[in-house]
Amino acid sequence: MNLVRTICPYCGTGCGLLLRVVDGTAVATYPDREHPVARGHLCIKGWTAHEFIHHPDRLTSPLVKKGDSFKEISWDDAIKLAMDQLLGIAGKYGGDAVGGLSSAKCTNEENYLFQKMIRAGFHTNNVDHCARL
Amino acid sequence: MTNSITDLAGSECIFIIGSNAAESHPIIMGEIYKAAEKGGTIIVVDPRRTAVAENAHIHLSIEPGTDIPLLAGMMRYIIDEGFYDREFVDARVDGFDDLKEFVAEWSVERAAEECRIPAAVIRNVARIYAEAAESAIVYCMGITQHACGSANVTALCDLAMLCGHVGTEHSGIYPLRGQNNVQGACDMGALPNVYPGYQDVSDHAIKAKFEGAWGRELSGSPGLTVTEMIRSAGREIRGLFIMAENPALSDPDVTHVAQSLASLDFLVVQDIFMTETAKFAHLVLPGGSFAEKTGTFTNTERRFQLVRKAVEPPGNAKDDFSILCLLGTAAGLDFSYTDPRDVMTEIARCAPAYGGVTYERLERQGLQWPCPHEEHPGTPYLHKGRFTRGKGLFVVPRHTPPQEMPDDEYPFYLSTGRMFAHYHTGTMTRRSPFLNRETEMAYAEMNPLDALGIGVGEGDTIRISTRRGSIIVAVRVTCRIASGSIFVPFHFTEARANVLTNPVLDPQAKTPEFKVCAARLEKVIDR
Amino acid sequence: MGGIICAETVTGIETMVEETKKLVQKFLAERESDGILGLRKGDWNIIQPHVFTLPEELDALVLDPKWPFAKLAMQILRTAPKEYRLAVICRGCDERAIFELFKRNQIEENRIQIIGIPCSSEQARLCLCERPYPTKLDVGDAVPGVDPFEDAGVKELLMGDDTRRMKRWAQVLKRCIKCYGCRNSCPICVCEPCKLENEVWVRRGSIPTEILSFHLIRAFHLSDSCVACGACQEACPVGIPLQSLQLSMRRALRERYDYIPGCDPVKKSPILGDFVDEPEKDRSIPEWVNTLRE
Repeated sequence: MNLVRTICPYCGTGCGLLLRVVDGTAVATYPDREHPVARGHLCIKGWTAHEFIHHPDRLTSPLVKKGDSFKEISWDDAIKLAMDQLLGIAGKYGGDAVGGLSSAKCTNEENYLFQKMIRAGFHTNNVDHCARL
Repeated sequence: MTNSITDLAGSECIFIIGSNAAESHPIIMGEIYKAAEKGGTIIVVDPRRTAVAENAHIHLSIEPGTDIPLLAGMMRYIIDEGFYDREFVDARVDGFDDLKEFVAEWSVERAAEECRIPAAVIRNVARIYAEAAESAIVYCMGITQHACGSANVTALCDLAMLCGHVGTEHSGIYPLRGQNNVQGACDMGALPNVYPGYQDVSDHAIKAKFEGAWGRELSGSPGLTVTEMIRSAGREIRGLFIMAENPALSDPDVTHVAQSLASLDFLVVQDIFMTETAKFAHLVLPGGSFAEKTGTFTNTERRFQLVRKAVEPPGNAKDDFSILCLLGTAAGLDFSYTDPRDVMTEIARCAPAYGGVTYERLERQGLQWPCPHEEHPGTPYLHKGRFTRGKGLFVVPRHTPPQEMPDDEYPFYLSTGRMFAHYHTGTMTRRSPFLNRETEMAYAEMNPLDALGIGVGEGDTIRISTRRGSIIVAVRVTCRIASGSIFVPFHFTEARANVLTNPVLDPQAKTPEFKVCAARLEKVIDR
Repeated sequence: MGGIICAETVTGIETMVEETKKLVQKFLAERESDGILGLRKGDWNIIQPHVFTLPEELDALVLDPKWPFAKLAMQILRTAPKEYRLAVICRGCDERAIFELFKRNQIEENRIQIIGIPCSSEQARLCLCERPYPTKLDVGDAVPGVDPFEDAGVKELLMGDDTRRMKRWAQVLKRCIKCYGCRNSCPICVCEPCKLENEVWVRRGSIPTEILSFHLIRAFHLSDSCVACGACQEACPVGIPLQSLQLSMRRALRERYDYIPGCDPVKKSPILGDFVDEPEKDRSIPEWVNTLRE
C-alpha cells in the first residue's frame, strides 16, 4: 500500500493529506493524523482532493492555436515558440510589454522560478498573481 | 497572519469580520469552536447571516461597506471609556494622537447610524474585545475586497494595537488566505514591487544583490499588478504568460477581461485543464497537479510544508518545475536545476527571512517563517515585544463608501463569494464528482421578501443585471441574506458572477471591490 | 458482558511492540498472509499506516497512536487480487468492525487475519471504551473498560433536563460543515448508495446540513452495528460529540438483548437479525413480526 503524505491543494489552511496510490492512480484521500494544524481533520474538499487528478479533461500535450482550434505540438516546438514570441515582443516593444501571472496554486519553487524568469529574462517587474482576487 | 491557527483555540474573544470561515476555511473554524467551548466569546460582523454568524455569540449584521465606521466607533468608545491598553500604546505604538483626532469624528451614535447596528451593541462588542485577556481578529475577503480594503485592514490593525492584542500567543490578527499557496506566491516575490522575501525592487542595493545572484541586469521600477496588466493588454502589454490562473473567470468585469486577453499579440497559458483563460491562448502548456509535484506550499500561518509527488502527470504533461526549467533555459538563463530542492537552497540564500529553510527541516511538521538560519526554530507568532519597524504606528483609516451604491435603476446590493463545496473558478472542484453533486449550477441567495417582490420562488430563474452585464441564475430563497441584498458565488462558468462585478480597485492594494455593487433583478419566464 | 477483565496492563509497551514484531515475522515467514497492516514510524519519525511485507521493515513497526484500520483493510482488499490475504494488527474496536464487515459481506473471512492487541487504560479513558481489547488477544494484557455514562461530558449530553440537553445538541450539531468525515471514517458506513447522498433526506448545496436527517439517519443506521471505535468523532473538524449519539442505543442493546455489536463474527443483531432462529432470553417474537409474513 502506497500512502503519500502531502498537502491539500485548496484553501490556505494547508491541511495534511495522505493520498493512497494504486498502480499509479490516486484512489483515495485520508486525513493526516500527524499534521500540526489539521490533526486528522479534513473538509469536504480535502476528502475529495484525489477526484480531479485523473479527470479525462486533463491537458496531456502542448497545444498551439491554429485558426479557431488547437493542434498538438511537441515540447521542443512549444518551448521554442513561447520564448521566440515573448522575447520577440520584448525586443520590439521593450521588456515592460511582457507580463507574467504566476500562481497561488503552484509551489514556492515554481513561483520563485517564474518571477526569476520574468524579471531576469525580460527585464521587467510585470509579475503578479491572484492574491487580490 | 501574525499567529498560528491552533493558537485561536486559546483566545478569550474572537472578532471575525468579513470571513465565512465555516465554508471557506472549515478547519480553522474548528479551532474557533474550541475557543467557544472553553468559554471564549465569538463575535461576527457580516451583512449575511452566514454559517459562522449562525454559530456566533453575537452577530452584527452590518450595512455593506461600513466597516470603518464600525471600527472607528468601537475605538472611540474604547478610548473614551479608558478600556484601551495604555501601557502597550505608550511603550510600543506611535501616532496615538492622530488616531484620537480621527475617531473624534466617529461618535458611537454616528457609527451606529452608518452601519445600522444599535449603538448599545457596538459598545458591548467594543468592550468585550478590549477587555478580554487575549482577543484575536479574523478577517478575509469581506474586508479586503472593497475600494477601501487597505484602509479596512489598517483600521483592524489600529484596533488590535489600541487594545494591546498583538504579540502574544492567543491574540493577533488572522487574515485567512484563500489559496493553498497564495502566501508562498507573495513570499517568493510573485508581486510587481518586491523580490523574494519582500525585498523592494526599487532599492538599489537589493537590485544589485539580485543582479549578482541572477547574472542579469534587472528593472528598478515596480511592474503592473494583475488587474493593471489585464487592463492594458493589447496596448502596453503585448505578450502575457499566465501560469495556473484563470482571470477570465476570477477578475472583475470579465467581459472586458475577455476583450483584453483576445487583443494580446501572444498569450501562453500553462494549466492542468482547458480553462476559460486558456481558450484565449496562442499556446497552451499542460502542467502538473499538486499530486504530480515535489516542492513546498506555505500556508496562511507562514508554514512552509512539503508537497510530495504521488503520481505521474498524464500523457505528455509535465510538472511546472520542469516546464519552467525548460523555459528559463530557452530564455538564456542558467536554469540548470535538477531538483526543486536546489531552488529552495537558492531561495534560502537570497531571502533572509527563509534562510533556515531546508527540505530536511520541513519533513516532519514544516517550519514557520521568519526563520533566518538553520538553528532558528521558526516563528509561531510575530511582533512579540517588538514590531518589525521598531514601534508600531497608528495609521488613520479614511472611510470611502462603496463606489457603486444601490439606486432607483439598480436597487440591490450584490456581493460575491464562495460556498462550501466549491473553490474559486471551479476548475478543480467542478470536475470532482462528489463536490459537483453538492451544487452543480449557479445560484443567487435572495431574501424571501425580495423574492416575493419580484414574484419568484425557490429554484425559479432570474436575470441579474449590473452596469457591466447580466447573468441568469436559479434563486435560493433564504433568510441568511438581508432584504435588499443578493449573494452570488463565483464558481460557475455557466453564469459568471464576475460579468456583474465592479472593476473599481482599492488604490493601494489594487484589490477589486467584489463585495459591493448595485444590481437589478428580473424574473425570467421559462418558455 | 463477559470477556477478559484483567488488572492494569502488566506488559510494557516496548515488550508489546517486540512481541508483535515476532508475531508479524512469523506470519511473514509462514506466508499466512501476503501483508500485514499496521503502523510504521518512517523517516523523520512520521507515523502512518503501512502494509508490511518484508522482515527488514519490522524495525519500524509501532502500535501507537490509535489509528482505525478496519475500513482501510476493506479498501485494500477491494483493490487487491482475489487471492490476496491481509493480516491486520487490531485493537478491540478494529476487530469488532471487521466482524461487522464479515456479517455485511464486505470482507471475506478467509482473506483476513487478526493480530489482536489491547489498548492501554489511558487510551480506554480517552475513547470512553467499554471493551478496550479484542476477543482474540495475541499480545499484552487486557485492561478493564470504562463506563461512558460516568463521563461528565456524556452526562451533560445524555442525562438530565431535556430542554437543556436539546439546546446543547442543537448548538453542537449546528456547527456541522458537511465534510462527510464521519461517514468516510466510519468502518461500518458502507451502504451504497449512501442515504446521506439522497436528496430526499439531505438537501444538497448548503450548510449546516439538516440535523435530523443527516446525523440521525447515520445514528439509526448504525444503531445496532456501531462498534464504538470513535473514528467519526475523531474525524469531525468541528468537535461534534458523535460517539455520544450512539451510547444510549448501545446500552439498550446490551441490557435488553445481551448484544454488543462486533463482539462475535457470526451472531447477528437481535433487531435486524432472524427472530425465529435467535429468540432472545425471556422474550417472545413481537406480534407485528407475523404481519410481515403475510
